[in-house]
Amino acid sequence: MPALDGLRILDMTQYEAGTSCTQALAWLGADVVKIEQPGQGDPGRGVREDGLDSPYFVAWNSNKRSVAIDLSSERGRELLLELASHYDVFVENYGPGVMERLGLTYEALKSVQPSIIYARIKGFGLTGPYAEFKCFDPIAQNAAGAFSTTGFADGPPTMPKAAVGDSGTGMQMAFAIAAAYIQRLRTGEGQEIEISMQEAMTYCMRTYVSQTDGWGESVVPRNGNGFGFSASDLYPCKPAPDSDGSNDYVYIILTTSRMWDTLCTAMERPELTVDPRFVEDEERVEHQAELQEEIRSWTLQHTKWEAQEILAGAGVPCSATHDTYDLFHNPHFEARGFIQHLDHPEWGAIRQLGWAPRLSGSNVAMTAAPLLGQHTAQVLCDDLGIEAEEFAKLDAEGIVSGHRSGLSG
Amino acid sequence: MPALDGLRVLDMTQYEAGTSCTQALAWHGADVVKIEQPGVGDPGRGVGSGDAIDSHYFINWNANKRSVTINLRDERGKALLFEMLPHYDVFVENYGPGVMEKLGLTYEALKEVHPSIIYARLKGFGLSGPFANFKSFDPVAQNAAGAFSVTGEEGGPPMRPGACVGDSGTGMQLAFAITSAYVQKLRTGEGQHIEISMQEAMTYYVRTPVAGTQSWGDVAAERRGNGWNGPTDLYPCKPLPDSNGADDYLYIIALTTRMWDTFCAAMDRPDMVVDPRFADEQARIDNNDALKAEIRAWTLQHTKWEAMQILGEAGVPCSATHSTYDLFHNPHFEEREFIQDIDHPEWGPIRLLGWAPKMSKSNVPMIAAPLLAEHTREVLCDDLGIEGEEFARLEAEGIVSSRNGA
Repeated sequence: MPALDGLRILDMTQYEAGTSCTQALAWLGADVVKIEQPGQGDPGRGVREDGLDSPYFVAWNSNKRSVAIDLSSERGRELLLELASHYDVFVENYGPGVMERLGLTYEALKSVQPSIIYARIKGFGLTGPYAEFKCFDPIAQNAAGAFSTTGFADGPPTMPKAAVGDSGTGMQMAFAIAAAYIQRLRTGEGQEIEISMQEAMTYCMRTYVSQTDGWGESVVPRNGNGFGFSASDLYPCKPAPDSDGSNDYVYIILTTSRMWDTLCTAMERPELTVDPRFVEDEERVEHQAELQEEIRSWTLQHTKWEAQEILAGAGVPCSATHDTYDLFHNPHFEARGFIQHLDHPEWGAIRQLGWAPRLSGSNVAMTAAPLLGQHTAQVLCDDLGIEAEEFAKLDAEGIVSGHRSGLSG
Repeated sequence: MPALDGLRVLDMTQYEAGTSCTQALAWHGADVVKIEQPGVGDPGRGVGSGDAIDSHYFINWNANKRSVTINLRDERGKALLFEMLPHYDVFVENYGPGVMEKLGLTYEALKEVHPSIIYARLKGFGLSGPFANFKSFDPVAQNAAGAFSVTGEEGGPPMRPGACVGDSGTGMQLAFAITSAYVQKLRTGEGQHIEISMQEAMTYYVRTPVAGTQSWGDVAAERRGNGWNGPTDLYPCKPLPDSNGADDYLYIIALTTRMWDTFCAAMDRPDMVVDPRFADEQARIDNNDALKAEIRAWTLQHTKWEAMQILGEAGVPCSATHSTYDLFHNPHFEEREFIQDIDHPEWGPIRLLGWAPKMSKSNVPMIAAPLLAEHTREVLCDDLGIEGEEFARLEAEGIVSSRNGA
């Protein structure tokens, strides 16, 4: 039985911040029904020249159903409000003011479904001087300090490309929704949840923030790839065959003298453990350049995979730089079954990265992202009893639409 | 009423990945009891502080928890933990590979005394696979999940992202999984085993760069610094008074022609809207250097705050580069009361960043991280009825400890 079996989500999310939230809910068993505009749908679908949904959309909308309703029409909005009474949660991440213009406020939904959990993801939140400002992932990351701590000491701030401003916010919202659902199971009451991408991103900044000697009174500088300890850094490796060398690196972290000894032994350089230049932390900091040179001369003799195998096998915290190709081609993910082989109705066989939390009693099989409108007929029939003739009329009037191929899931 | 009111968590976490998970649970109202070794406690208490007082790092990740010290290397200490167990719904740990097994605190052992326990484990590379025994810290997980490979300058080396998402990004997913498992437990009465790998959790945040290759994993995504095609980039601003310029930048995103027009209007450069060099998306890519020079000329005339105000108000997605100092000193967080001024028993008044999800019916006030052993007496009395002489005996034998007899 999936953990969130029976939880029903009316999903008005787009791009990544919202879709990452509802995808996670779906992977724990919630029934996620994505409401999209007929024709275009979530702009993240990306509409390629070949008419296929973008890999971006497919990556963030697994295990959902798609229902296309024209919310710019009065009848479409009525349909949505009729649907709402069948759902526990409403989630949206549209730009500032869009839900208000559509008349889909918490008050409006509450009037038809008093116990609805109404969840909103906004770039800078609903209040404060920046409330109306637009936001995408790098905007949130830059506004949360993540740029300021990424990059070389003498270089400009650098954008971290893992899109944590988006999907990191989505994770916190999924968690808050699950918590609110527990409260609702107990009290019968829903509520409104708001999350700001800027604020959510700062959760992952707390460690850097705490590196100051006060409580927010000084700036934590950029430090390249170093990590506060003399030997911790990114080291170049012998390029793997056919590699251009751009990701042939291994990251090594040493936090104690014991780890340094372990590293020296693993490199088969036992004399370094008694070298007076490196004997204690103080000496290692003083002779950092020489120390790193010793490590580099060793890593350059090994590919990143060899270096990782030798060092991590010996107990040194380290990892090869995995590029996004490596994510899909490595023995560890293979052995763990993390890469999912799915069938997409139009792309055919595709591969997707899996979902990290593994629950022994709550398995959910992964399914590919839905085509636009693939489940319109199914959901309107199951939830509202709208069938054949009535559906055809709504479709003809452009108020709803099924998938253009007639595929119905 | 807090959302997770009544949920009780036995917390054996340390450093950040695990503590970020249980702190989030506490901020939604769970009762989080942190079990620590007498004397030292969570090694995170000592990170960077160099003295007897708890570190900033520890205090940032352990708010709203209670601290109980039990010597788990002693059989009697372990027996005490097993006695406490039935009073809890969840057990969470993020120790290194094999530590729980050595301590005899496996799922099987715990399930035997408390069948419906939710047993949650956070590991660097997970519990199975060839890398299962490899140690991990945040950058190890980020590097192993592709985050380094897509960050940094074109032509430069991979770059460590300066937010600890490998740790706390994993903690968030585990908090969500635990909460979901608790929903299931409320319905079925059954607990379960949850495992999460930091490497795998981190890949959730890399799905968009993966998808950017327009392949299903057969092409590696490249590093591209801060820029995208067209005007989207990081631009230097006029340094603020007393600034060294390191963080005087503005990030601007303008992807469509409509955004570009808005942007030109906001810069007071309507001539650029009709400039043939920038007329459409392709032209803006073809003349990228000239385009960026025009924008830079404008941003250099404004501080990052002025530029953000002007462009943000006009509807151009942008943000000033906030330093960690700026996070604590800006009018937006102030008005939203995101910065929490709280009291720590030893530090006195301190400031912490708040918790992002704002729930209309589930408020939980923030409380400073506990001192080591601050709640040993309280929890042992409430859960097991151990007090007075019996407690004194346990303490004298070094099985538990309390704080200055408190």
